[in-house]
Amino acid sequence: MNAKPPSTGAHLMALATLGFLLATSVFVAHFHLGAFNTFAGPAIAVLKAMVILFFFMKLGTGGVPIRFAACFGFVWLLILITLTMGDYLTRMPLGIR
Amino acid sequence: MTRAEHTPPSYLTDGNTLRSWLLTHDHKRIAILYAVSITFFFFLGGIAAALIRLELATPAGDLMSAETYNKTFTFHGVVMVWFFLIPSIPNTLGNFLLPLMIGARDVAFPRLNLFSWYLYVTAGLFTIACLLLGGVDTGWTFYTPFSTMFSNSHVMLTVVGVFIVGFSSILTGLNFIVTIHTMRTRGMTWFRLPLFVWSMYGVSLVMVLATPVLAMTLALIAAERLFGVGIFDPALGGDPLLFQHFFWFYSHPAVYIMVLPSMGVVSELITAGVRRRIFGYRFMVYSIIGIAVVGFLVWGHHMFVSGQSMYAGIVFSILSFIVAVPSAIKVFNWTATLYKGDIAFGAPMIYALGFVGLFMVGGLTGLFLAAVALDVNLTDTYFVVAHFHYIMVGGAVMAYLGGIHFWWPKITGRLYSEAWARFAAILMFLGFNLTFFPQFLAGAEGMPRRYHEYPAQFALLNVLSSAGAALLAAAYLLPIGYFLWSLRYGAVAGPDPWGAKGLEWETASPPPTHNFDRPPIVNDGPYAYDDP
Amino acid sequence: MSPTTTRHAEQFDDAAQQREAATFGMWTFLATEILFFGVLFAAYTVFRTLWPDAFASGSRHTDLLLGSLETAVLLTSSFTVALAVRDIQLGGRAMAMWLLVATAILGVAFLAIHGVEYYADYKAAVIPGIRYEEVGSLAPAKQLFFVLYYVTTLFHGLHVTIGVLLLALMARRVRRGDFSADEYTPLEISALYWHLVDIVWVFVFPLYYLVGRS
Repeated sequence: MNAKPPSTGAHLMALATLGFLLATSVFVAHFHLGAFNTFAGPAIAVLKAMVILFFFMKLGTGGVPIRFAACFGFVWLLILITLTMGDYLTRMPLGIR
Repeated sequence: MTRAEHTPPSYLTDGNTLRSWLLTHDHKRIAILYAVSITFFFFLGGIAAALIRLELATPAGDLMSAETYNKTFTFHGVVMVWFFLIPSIPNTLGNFLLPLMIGARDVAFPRLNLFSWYLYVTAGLFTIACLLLGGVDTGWTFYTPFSTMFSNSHVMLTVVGVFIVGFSSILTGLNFIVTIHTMRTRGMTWFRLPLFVWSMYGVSLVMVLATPVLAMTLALIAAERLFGVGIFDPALGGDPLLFQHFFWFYSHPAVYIMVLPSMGVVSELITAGVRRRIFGYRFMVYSIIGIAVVGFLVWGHHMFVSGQSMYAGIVFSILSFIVAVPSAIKVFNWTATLYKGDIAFGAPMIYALGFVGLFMVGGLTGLFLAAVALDVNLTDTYFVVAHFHYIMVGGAVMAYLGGIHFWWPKITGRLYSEAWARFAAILMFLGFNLTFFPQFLAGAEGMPRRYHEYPAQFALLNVLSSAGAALLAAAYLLPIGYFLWSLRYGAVAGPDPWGAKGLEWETASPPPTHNFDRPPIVNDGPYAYDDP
Repeated sequence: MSPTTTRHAEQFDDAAQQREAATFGMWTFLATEILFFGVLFAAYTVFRTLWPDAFASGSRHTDLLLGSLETAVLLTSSFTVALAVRDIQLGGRAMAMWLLVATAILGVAFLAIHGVEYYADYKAAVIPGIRYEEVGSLAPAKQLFFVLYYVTTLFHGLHVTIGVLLLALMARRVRRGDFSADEYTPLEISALYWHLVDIVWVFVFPLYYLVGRS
């Protein structure tokens, strides 16, 4: 469990990546790209979260139970959103706003 | 007996002051604290139930006003769900047995365990305060917009109480998950865990993943009431149905919080009573996890008539049928375990058999309600009331009491009176059926739930139901009597009075504070009754 | 949740088991945190689907510059706390302490910038339930945007506050010499918590600040 930690340089690289992703998401948001605008922000957020999870939080070396625990939160949130949206998206064609 | 001099004191005698109980970190003492407090709430909720049945003994609303009746069934629901059923088996039997069964000295976070009991008590005080100040009338479901815009009762107090008790559940679930993952003794592999431990694992998953959703949803209700903002208020662009989605995302899995532990208990009771290995151990494990997971995908069957989309209704209906499959696997495997066995009909076995039968009725009527077309007719009738009471009272409470009987010698070191216990168990089974079976009939004929008066045509069925409730009340009071009696006059039990297998039976009764003299080593699966 | 000494608590067999339990416990707790915030994100998804124009309009109300600054501050704080853990792992002490102090200060800075935003919102009267003076056909649905914005950011701010206190406590414990290269579990799980607070914000930022900017 006490593997040698990544170097300061690697940490700086991670921070730079996060900064770059932040700048990209702000930049992209200013262009009129239709539906892509809706997805760009969250998609870049997922990338940022991945950097934090796998680099800063060392999810990759954390062992199977820890990886499961990390997945469960996100997967269950997806269940909540998917099935709830399933109702709302199929409700509208029936004329109920 | 030179050994007696070296025997460490039992957890019951290791410190006799009130302080040594209230500040204990011992999972067994915390289990006792829970047992006492949930018994208190069980009888509070029971008194409310008695008042309901008393009111419904006659068609006219002669005992209480409609408003008082609403507050009574709300109090009954809130107390029974959050202060009895959900903590019942996990926090008493689970707390007591989980570390023993996996050969650990305690749970992973003993202080957190004690803290969760204090959260429970604090939440209970809020609920009692609400009762004393005049109660709440929203039903245990707090449906919006009634709960946010119209109800003038003490919604906030109750919501805060339930919010806090939710944290108690989350912390217990977290503690159990970590304990099962990290504290198993040598040789206790995942597929050697007793099914009770697996059921605690399943239930902890549900507690940890569902309860935060309830807590945040209740916080939104509080925000809406306090600040007049409108997340669930259609006049302000919000949607009351969103509340139902969030609420049932928690509250449907909460049904499995109540019934999964019962399944674990019953698996232990049946194998010990018939002295056999469980039939299909691995499938029992998979079905526990299957129920815990699929249970999260079915919540919309509570909303078939509430205005959700037809297509969502169909999807939720199909998923609800699927969740019946793992439940059925469990029933078949219990039956197969018993088949042609030499069954000892002690009180725990009677409870277990009662559970299997009543759970089956509850489960099969659940299929009626999962079918959209039938549900449209049956929803909000007494059919629903009867259905979930078969699961919760016939299932969860029977299993809880069966478990308490089975492990009573382990917990207290004394044997209760077997004759009285069998009598109470049979009385409970009869009283239960007399109370709730007529409600299926009344519901199928269209008697709506949650009214304090009803047309005279339902009078006979309701009189039967109320009479059954009286029997049931007597059956619940009896164990209090003979259990207290056994504490003083019961025969000394010894480590394993039933000849049952499992690590908890290998230590003294009652167990010493640190459970085992030396860490046990496991080299066989559970229920090795066929070994010499 | 975690013991205060490098010796293991009596329910554990050894320090390794204790450490495993503590980190796994924290990750499980973080899963519950995701679902706490998840309700708000789910409500956001529903209402933004129902009222896309109102959400775009509400999002244009937020201060993009301050929001980006807050994001940068939090990302940097994740970086500093990770470095603090690294320093302890390598046997350091003074550097780790200052990095933790820096992280806590960045957390306070985040809260301060957010305070500035809230004050501007108050002056612009877009705080539902307190001071809300929007009019027009979009006003009710925009109110939903602001309610979710406030509940989410306040709940997140609560987490930041707890995190700052936790980090300050850890800085003190580092200074006292409680941790070594072999035993630093409380610091490690505090850092995990702080990273999760960061992750939540990473999702809040595009959903509340970047809609309707094009």
